[in-house]
Amino acid sequence: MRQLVCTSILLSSLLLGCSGGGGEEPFTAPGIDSGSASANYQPDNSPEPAIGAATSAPLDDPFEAVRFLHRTSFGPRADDIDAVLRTGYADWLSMQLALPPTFMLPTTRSRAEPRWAEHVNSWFKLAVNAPDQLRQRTAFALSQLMVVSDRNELSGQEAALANYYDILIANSFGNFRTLLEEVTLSPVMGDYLSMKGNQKADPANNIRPDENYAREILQLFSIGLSKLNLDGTVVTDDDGVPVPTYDQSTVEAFARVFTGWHFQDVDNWNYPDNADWFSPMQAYEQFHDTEEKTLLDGYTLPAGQSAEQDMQDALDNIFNHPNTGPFISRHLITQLVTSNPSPQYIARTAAIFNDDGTGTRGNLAAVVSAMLLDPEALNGYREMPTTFGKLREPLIRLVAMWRAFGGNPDHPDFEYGWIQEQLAQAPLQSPTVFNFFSPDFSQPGAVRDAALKSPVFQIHNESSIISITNTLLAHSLWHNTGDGNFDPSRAPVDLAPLSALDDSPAQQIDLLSQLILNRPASDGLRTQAELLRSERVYADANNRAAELLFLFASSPEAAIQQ
Amino acid sequence: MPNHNRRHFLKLGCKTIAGAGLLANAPLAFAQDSSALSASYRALVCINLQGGNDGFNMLVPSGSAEYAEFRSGRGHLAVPREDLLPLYTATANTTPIGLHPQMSGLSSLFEQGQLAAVANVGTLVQPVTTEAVRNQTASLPTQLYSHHDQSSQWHKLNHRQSAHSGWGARAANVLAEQQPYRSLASISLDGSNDWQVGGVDQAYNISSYGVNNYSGMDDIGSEWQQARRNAFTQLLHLQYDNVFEQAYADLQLRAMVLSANVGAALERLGELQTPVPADNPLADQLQMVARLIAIKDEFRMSRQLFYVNFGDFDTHDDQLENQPRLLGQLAEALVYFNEVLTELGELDNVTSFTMSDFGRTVTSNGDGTDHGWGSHHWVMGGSVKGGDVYGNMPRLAIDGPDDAGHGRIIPTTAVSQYAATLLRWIGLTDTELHAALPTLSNFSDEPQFML
Repeated sequence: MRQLVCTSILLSSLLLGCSGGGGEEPFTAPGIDSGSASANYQPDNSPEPAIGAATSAPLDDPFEAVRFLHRTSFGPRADDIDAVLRTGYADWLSMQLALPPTFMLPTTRSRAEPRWAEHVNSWFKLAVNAPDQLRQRTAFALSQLMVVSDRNELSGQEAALANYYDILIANSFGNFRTLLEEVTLSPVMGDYLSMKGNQKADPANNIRPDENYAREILQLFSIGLSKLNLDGTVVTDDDGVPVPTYDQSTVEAFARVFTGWHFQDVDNWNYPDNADWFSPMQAYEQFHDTEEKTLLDGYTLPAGQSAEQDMQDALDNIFNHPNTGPFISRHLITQLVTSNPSPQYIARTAAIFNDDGTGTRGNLAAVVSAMLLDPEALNGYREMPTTFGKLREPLIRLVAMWRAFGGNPDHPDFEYGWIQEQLAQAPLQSPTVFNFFSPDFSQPGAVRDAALKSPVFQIHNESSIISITNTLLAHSLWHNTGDGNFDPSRAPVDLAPLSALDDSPAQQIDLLSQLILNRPASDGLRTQAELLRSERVYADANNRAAELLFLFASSPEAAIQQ
Repeated sequence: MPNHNRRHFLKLGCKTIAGAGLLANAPLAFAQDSSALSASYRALVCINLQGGNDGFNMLVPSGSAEYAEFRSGRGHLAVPREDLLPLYTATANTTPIGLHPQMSGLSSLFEQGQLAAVANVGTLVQPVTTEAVRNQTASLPTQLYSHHDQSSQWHKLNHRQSAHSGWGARAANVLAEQQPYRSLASISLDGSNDWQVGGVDQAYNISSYGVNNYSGMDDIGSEWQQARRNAFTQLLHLQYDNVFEQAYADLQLRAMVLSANVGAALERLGELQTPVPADNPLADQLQMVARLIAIKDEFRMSRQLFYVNFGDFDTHDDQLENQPRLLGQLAEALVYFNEVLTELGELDNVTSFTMSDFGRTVTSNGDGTDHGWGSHHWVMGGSVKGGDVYGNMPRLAIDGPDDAGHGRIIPTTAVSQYAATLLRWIGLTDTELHAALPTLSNFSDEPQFML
């Protein structure tokens, strides 16, 4: 890397400039020598599965509990850390799996006067306060797989969207086949991907069934475009070209399967006056295509079947496809654990999807447990320290800060339906069915050079990273209970646990490391924290606490989940 | 203490620039006479119509036989023939062409020669015959009709090469030699996109509203804020073992430097005169593109590639409500952009063009259309040989000579050919062009829509 010699410095209003010698150089990330970046960040081998891994023993290191809680909840609270330390991983998971689900619709409907994007407000209340954290976190991951969004036609359908989200919550630990069916028959999905009102062909008028839902249930919700091995790697032909899972004729056949469904008890097929958003769609046989259909891998539905029979058989065909296990496993792992799981890790998880040990396929509770107790999930941070983990989603960073320091969105005037403008994502507000980010996105620079994926970076750019930082700043420095002068509807954080440690900076830093980072603070962060404290020597303890909370929450160390 | 901090801050200012790979001398160019550079300035503006625009309802063959073919396939979703606006082309077409009635603003641009249409453009790896497509012997792009894949192929034109870069990024790599401030060579108004991804330089992202400011940290006169900013910035200079931590720190650092530099320049510029159409998100983005073009001399830019994104054009349903509204906004935004570039005196230096995932089926699904293949596109600017339709208007008959099935129309101009004309104009040589567009050599000619 070229050495820049600073010979003159210009400081204008906001301008930072320094003139350097020499010619032009391509952008190179500081600290990463472009020549060896790839070598530095080559993914290590997956850890061997430990035989009889002691996942049910109590833990000694609070950071083990913290890391686990970042994967299994919307962020650790002090008492969660104690609980995981006491019980170990497996018991904590069992306890979570046994909790009754907390649904969204009652919260959305609890307001007398509905507000725009109320489902977003409801989501925050559940994410921060619901005791069934693992279920909520899993449902959020599923909402980024089977995407519906309030952009376009579903705007204003807050309760219906909450009801859709409840399908995900209800089935997060259920069977994937049931989930697939309930999503398929949801009128919200029916509206979003236009299966609702889809009808058999009218050849005289060149009208044929709508392919929207058919295409996306295959491509995005279940199997993907290319054949996968159990370990998630793509099957290729002799020329190295990926082998497609289906072709256009398969999509057309599925489009014909998904004909004949509309709102329950709809009064008029084309121009309905009544809309039941809360019941599954109903079959209307006169609009269903009853001819023979050839689905995935030559599976044929005979002519003459009802809409219900066709739908059931087609979902079985998808559910039983060998891609489904690795496809769903990869999605859940990249959402909850790490952006670059090893093939072995995906294979171990997908094997549980295929058979949970009792002969059952698609048991999501078993898949989630296996994925979270896998040695790669538990040990990746030390066996693959340079490549393991993921950039945390901006929404989760805000929620985690609230959970850690008592920020509560349960105030009646809490209104965050606009949060996407600040955080570049919001629940049920994806710009398209392709979610906020693609699992294959790779951040230019060292990440891409090392052929790694970094999905969440796709919503981080020079513009959004500033508004994300500003949001963290507002919710630590401004919306806190420190000086008693605060807006209670902004989920103010409670600084008391931090300011109580004002006489002991080391303990303050330790507390922040546990609740905001996922490992002990680096020396550099400690140094800056102490410098900043010394700058605020004439301020009060609450102010110092708030400054440190922002510094930690906005740090690169806090941005990454390991 | 304050003195120490001030020294520290100055040092940091330099380190920040160096660390983020930003070219140090560019912002010092404000006072220089850059008229010579300005005269040679050229920019491409890629307008992506997200979701797959139905080009066949945008430019409609209006001759009676050809319209009848379209009407027969499209049914009641076809624009009524009597509503079409006649489009007078410079050279004779085999069939008269009508413009969607919501796009009336484009008629005069077209007639003034600042707007051209390119007919039936789509993803192709080599020329194909209809017969070969139908009997599945043609070599075709992978995953036809899938949004993600087709949009990606439009943006990247990689064919099956493993490089994951967009053709905009590859062009920017070639043009980088001429750029004093490469961080602004590629600018996106819509975040990360496949057209600009994977180049030597990262694209810079800015929103329609301009740069974001770091609240609580950007008041240089406030020592209170600067103490916070120093601590925050120092963390970005630490070395991180984890690749994602490092990437996050790098991005935050770039954001700090670029928002300061671009923000200051935009503030000095102020607002432009041409009124921006209300409630038009595409016009909002183009307004910011215009403002960025207006400050280009401060950074001595000679070539720039802009990306804006508009839609949802994925009209599987309610097409008759949604598409006319979108086409109206598209036309309004193009007219606005043409005016504001005229205000800036940059009309001849800026060429805008549309892309979209794919066209849509001529057949309908009752109240919408599904994913198709070829579609019509617009190219606009003072250097465009406007007032004409380039390429071949396809026949829209179902099972007709251009139909791959259900009215998925086989493209007659490949995206590579379309891109080649644009990239030649921005300054790529023949060799550079073929390196940037690997399938171009499979095609014999390029549409000649640039002066």
